[in-house]
Amino acid sequence: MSTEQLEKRLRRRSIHRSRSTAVAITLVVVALVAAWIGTEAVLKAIGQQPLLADPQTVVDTALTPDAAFTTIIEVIAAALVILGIVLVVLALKPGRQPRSGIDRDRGAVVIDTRILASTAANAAAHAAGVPEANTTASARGHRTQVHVVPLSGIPVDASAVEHAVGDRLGRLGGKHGSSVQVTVEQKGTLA
Amino acid sequence: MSAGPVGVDATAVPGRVEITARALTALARAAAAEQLGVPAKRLRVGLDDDRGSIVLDVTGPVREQADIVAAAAAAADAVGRRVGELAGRHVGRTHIELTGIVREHEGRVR
Repeated sequence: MSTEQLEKRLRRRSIHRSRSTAVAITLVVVALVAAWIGTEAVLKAIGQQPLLADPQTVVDTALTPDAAFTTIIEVIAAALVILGIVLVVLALKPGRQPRSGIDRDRGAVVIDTRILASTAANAAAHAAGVPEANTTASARGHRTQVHVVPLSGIPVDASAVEHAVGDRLGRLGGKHGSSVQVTVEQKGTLA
Repeated sequence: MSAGPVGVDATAVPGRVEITARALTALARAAAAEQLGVPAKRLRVGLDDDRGSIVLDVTGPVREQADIVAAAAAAADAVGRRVGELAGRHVGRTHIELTGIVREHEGRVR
C-alpha cells in the first residue's frame, strides 16, 4: 500500500467511527447460539440428556403457544425488532465524528470541527469589525453557520463577512468554506 | 470593506479600536452640552440601539435664547451628527427632553 493510500485511509478512519464494537458483540452472540445448538445436537446424537433444553421441544412449544407464552414471545419479538433496527442503522450510517480532514502534503491531518467554528467566528469578527465575543459559529461537515451581533451604528455587510469566512476556511483546502451562511442580528450592542 | 468605524480601513491598522458604552455616553453628554450651551453635569444621556443604529436620549435644560424649540431641534440634529463624526458610528435618532432654562449668570453669588 502506498503512503498516499495509507494516509487517505488513516484520515477516513479518524473521521468516521469504527463499527468494530457492534460487530464484535453481534458475533459473540451468534457464536454462543451456534455453540449451544451444536452441543445439543451432539448430546442428542449420543443419546445423552440435553444441556438446557432439546431444540426440537423448544421449537414445538413455540409453534403451539398458549396465552401466557404468546405475550412473552411478543415481548421477545419486539426486542429483537428494535435490536435489528439499531444494528441496521449502525451498519448504514456513515458514523461521522465531529472532525474534518484538511489537505496537507505530508501526513494525514484531521482537525476538530470546533476549531473550524472558532476560526470562522474569528474571521467573521475581523471582517465585521466587532469584538470576537459578538460572533458565534457552528460547523458541521463542510457547512458553516456564523451569527454576528453588530455594534450599534456600524453596519455589518453580511456578504463581505461571508466572503471573508469562506476565504479563511478555504485556506484549509478541500471543500472547506464552500458553504457559509451568515446571519446578522437585527439589534446591535453598544460596545 | 465596511469593517470598523466609518472612515477607518480595518486592514490598514492591525488590531481594533473599541469604544465602551461609558465612553460613548460621556461623548454624547459632552456633545449635547456643547450644542445646548449648558454645563455637562446638568445633562443626562441614555444610549440605546434601534435596528443597528445608536439612539440618543438627552434630558436636561437649554440655554436661554429666543426660539427654544427651534434651538433644541437644531441641537438634536447637531448632537447626532457630532457623535457620529467623533465615534465613527451611525446615529439614528436623537431625542431631547428639555427640563429647564439656564441663564447666563445663573449660580453666581451676589
